[in-house]
Amino acid sequence: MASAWCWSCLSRLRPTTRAVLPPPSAIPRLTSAPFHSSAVQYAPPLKKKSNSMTQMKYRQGQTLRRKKKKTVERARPPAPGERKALRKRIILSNPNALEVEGMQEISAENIVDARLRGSVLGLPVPMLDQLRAVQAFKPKQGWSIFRRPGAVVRRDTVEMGRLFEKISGEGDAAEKGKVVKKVITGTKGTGKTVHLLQAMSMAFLKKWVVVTIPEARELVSGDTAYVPVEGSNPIQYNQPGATSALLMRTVEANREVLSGLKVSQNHPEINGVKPTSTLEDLAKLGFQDPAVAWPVFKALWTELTATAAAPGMEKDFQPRPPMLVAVDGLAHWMHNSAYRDTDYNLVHPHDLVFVKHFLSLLRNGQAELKNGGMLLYATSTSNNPGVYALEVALDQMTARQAGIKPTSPEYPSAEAYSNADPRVLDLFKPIEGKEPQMELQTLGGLTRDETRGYLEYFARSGLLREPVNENWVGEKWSMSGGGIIGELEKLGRHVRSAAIPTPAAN
Amino acid sequence: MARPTSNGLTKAMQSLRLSSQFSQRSLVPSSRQLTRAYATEAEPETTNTAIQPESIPDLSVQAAPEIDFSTSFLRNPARIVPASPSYFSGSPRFVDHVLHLESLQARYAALPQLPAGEAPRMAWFKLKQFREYVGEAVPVKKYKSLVKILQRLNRIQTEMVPGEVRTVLDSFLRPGNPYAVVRETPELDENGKARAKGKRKESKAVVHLVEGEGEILVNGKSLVEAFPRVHDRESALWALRTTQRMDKYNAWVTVRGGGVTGQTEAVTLAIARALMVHEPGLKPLLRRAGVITVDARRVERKKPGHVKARKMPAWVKR
Amino acid sequence: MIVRRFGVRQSRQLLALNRRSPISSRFLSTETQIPVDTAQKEAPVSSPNPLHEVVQATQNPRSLAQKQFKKQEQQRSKFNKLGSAVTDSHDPEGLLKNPPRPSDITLELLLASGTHLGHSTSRWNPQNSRYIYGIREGVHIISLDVTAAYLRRAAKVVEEVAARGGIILFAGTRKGQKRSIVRAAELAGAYHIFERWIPGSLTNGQQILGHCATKVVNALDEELPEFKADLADRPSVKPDLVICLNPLENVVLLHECGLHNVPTIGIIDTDADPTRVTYPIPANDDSLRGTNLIAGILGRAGEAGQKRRIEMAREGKTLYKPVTASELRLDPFTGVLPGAEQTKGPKRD
Repeated sequence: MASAWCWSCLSRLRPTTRAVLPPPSAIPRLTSAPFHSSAVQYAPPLKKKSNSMTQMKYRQGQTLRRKKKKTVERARPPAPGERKALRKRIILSNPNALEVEGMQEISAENIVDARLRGSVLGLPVPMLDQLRAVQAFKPKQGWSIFRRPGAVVRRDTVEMGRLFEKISGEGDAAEKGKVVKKVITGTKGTGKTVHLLQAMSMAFLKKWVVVTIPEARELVSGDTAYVPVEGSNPIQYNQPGATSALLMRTVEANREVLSGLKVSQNHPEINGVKPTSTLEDLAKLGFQDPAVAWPVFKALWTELTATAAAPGMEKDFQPRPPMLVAVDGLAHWMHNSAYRDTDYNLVHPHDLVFVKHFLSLLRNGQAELKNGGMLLYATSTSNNPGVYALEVALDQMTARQAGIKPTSPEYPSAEAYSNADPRVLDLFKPIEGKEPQMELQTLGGLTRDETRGYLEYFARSGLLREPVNENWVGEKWSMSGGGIIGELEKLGRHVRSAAIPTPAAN
Repeated sequence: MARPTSNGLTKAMQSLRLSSQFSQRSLVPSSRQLTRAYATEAEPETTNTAIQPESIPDLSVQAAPEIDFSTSFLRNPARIVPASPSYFSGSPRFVDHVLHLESLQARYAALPQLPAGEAPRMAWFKLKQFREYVGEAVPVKKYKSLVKILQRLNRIQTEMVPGEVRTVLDSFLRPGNPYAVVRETPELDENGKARAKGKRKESKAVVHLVEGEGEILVNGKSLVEAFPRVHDRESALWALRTTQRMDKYNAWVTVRGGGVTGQTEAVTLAIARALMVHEPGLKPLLRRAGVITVDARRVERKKPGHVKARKMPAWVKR
Repeated sequence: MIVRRFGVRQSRQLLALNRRSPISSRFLSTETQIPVDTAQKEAPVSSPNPLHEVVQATQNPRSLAQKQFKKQEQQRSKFNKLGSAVTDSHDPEGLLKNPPRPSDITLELLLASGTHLGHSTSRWNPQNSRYIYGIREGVHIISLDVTAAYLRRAAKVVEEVAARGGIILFAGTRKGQKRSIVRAAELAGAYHIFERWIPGSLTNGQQILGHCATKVVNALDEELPEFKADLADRPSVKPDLVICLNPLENVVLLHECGLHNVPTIGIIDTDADPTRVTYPIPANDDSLRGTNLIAGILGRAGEAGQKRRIEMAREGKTLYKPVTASELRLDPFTGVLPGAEQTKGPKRD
């Protein structure tokens, strides 16, 4: 049995010691470190701090001795472009996330399946390279939180799938060779860029040719070289570097299609084109030598839009596939570029040949794509210059779609003295009776069902630990401003961190 | 010249005196030596002649009553004295009020009192109004002590308050009883819409809440555009969220002034109040959630000599 | 003996049962009217007990509180007479309710009131040596016969001033002197000041007291409202006699009185300067009982003077020269009629 005494406390059992002890002397007692506070009373008296000592503190040295600063060995600074690469790096997979059971892949069949609305369709692995090549993925789109990339099927997606079927000449209401032009807008986080990505993936599935400009801003920000086009009046500018990059992207992404198509037209301005060469070979000429990039691009474009071969070259002619042209960040093309002309005036983007080419495709009544196709020009809200003329033009388009005639007093117009850019207004000018017409597609939030499907995908990926029920989804839907998908994604992440169970709970 | 009508002698004299037109005294027959300024003092005959109408005799006017000589001594002024015994205090009306109230308090000290909190709420004069009422510059502290006596008197059992005390207390009430106005409980309008306001910091929010699907517009924009931060959105909709009414109401919010936090919390308060109009039973829940508690804190003003509201400049030796 | 003690004990308990607070029993007394009522209106003929009417009104009590109150009052009236009668005790309220007259001044009364206690000998003013009887335990003792004589003289002065229609001001600015001051002023038909004397009230009267209302009264002290218009632009009223209970604290007041030739009466303790006042009363100014007594006596004196004046006025006589109507009409500063040329002014005899 344990003793009631604490043996280490036996020091307390010495009531007489104090009296027996000699009076505390100045000689420091050599004792072990006292454990009990009672031992403090046996402690030697505190030494009085001598004044001279404290004074000495400031008189220790006669000379100024300064410590040398140690030079910190720093790691090698990152190589040029390394930081940017890190910033722009796109991670499409998170091995820690759960594999979603029974997740479907996007395929040529299910793009029109309305039953899939609200479910997330995975992107097939072979297509990822193509999508990467056209820079369809952007950083900060949340690709890195799931096991594999995928996109939610929403109403707009299904409608777009139907259009793809139609233009490809499949299904019931086939309209082969139709051209659809769309300007895609929407508030921040509504999934405009991902909508373009879905369009590209569909185009790849349908073996279309995909030409994309993933950042419209890069063409006007003055980062790439530009040369005036000889003999043009008013003077226009060519961008060989950007054109060559475009060719490279196009070839990379559409190698399968382009390599199967032979040259069918005469291209006297380009050297090295043989009648047997494929379109891939043709394009390759362009990105090997940026100086001829623009003529090569023009040649490629004529090849792709050709409906019939030139006389004498019909032998290997195959019908050209429809084309998808996707541009992201349209507004940057509507205000002055950072380029300067010889008078040091800012160059309007519409004077850049490259930009002008793509904008002229958009123009109402212009049916440049002879083999049909789709033009998707999306605005951006994350880097938006805010062009008044474009706002007015989009308002006008909205009004036209609502059935307001341009002669009606309710039809919006630029304010007097607002100095709206006439070239922009002219670009979006309605032309009666000529197809195809530009359409405005405004993306909004997901519906509740789609939201539910999306959030369930989060849950099944192991990011959400809360039961996804009607009430909870409704709450998130409201909280995300009516199902704005970017906000839903943020909320999904938010919940993930908030819902980590504390160890105390276990 | 003042024309006497059916007035008494005194009034005639008064008007005569007030007119103070001594030159017109020449109309009085000059045979009499006018020795006194006031005819009432000595010579009644003078007054008779003085009040005779000069111009057209008005037959409807009655003759003046007879003079009462016995009272003439009492009509004479004797002294000029202060009107109040507290004259020399400089604020006699106030001091008189205080003394009167103190005497009342002492007299009715034995009457049963109500407990401190239960006395009827009375809107006494504000200091400014009281100063106008007494016409003297009463210091704050002194007025407070007066109000203290008033409150003590007001605490006498309501059914036993003597009439004298009641009248005195009533004389110190400011016009219009602000506490009598009962705020009507807000109700839904004919469209089933509840309107409520909320304030926080410098922000003011007005919310129109209707039953719906959980669509919320803030200043015509979506919630996400108005409040980009998730935290702000959550706190703005906290009332709906804690009560699980998020998908049952649509809200149209107008919020002005202040910063993001202020606007957010103003919206929180306004939504909670509007929700209480729809479902008053939710009040305890909302109270516990802390969304109907008004945060009355405002930015403290900067003071002269301070760097901010309280911060003092660093002390410098010289 | 035992029985009496029993009665005392019981009645004490009963009294304790009834008495809500000391102040309530004070006002239950049936002797005089309410002491503190300085309203200018005529004091209403009050019923002996101020709560009487309340009790009357609650003859048919409705609420529980009324019933309880009525029951208490009944108990009180029932048990009020029980117990022994204590005589020769000091009633502090008595000095206020029924102050003694100047004829009641006795050395015993003064001694009981502690008027003889001066200050410590070290603090004395040698000018007071003729009032000092001796030293006891380091404290000067004021000679009571001197006090009585001076007090009588002061009372005579107050009475005569009151009889001559003078304006008397009672000033006692010490804490606790308020009620006696107000009461004395009420008795003497005088004026009071119990808070700080505003410096300049005499020397700069127009500025400080200009807005305070005055009135014109006849010989019977009835107000004559028809002269109201003449009161505008008059110099402020100055007192004809100032009675100061604590001259040490009111140096400014006495100084202004000196400047304006206003006679003063003051309680002069052994540390005060007797030359500051016209009529000193050597007495203890630190005891409230003493100052209450002196204020009461002077108030009574003033009351007697006022009574005499009113009686004379009833016979149509005044001891003072009344202000005439024409004087009232004269410009108080220039002595001429306002708006009239000097030559056309009425002759006065």
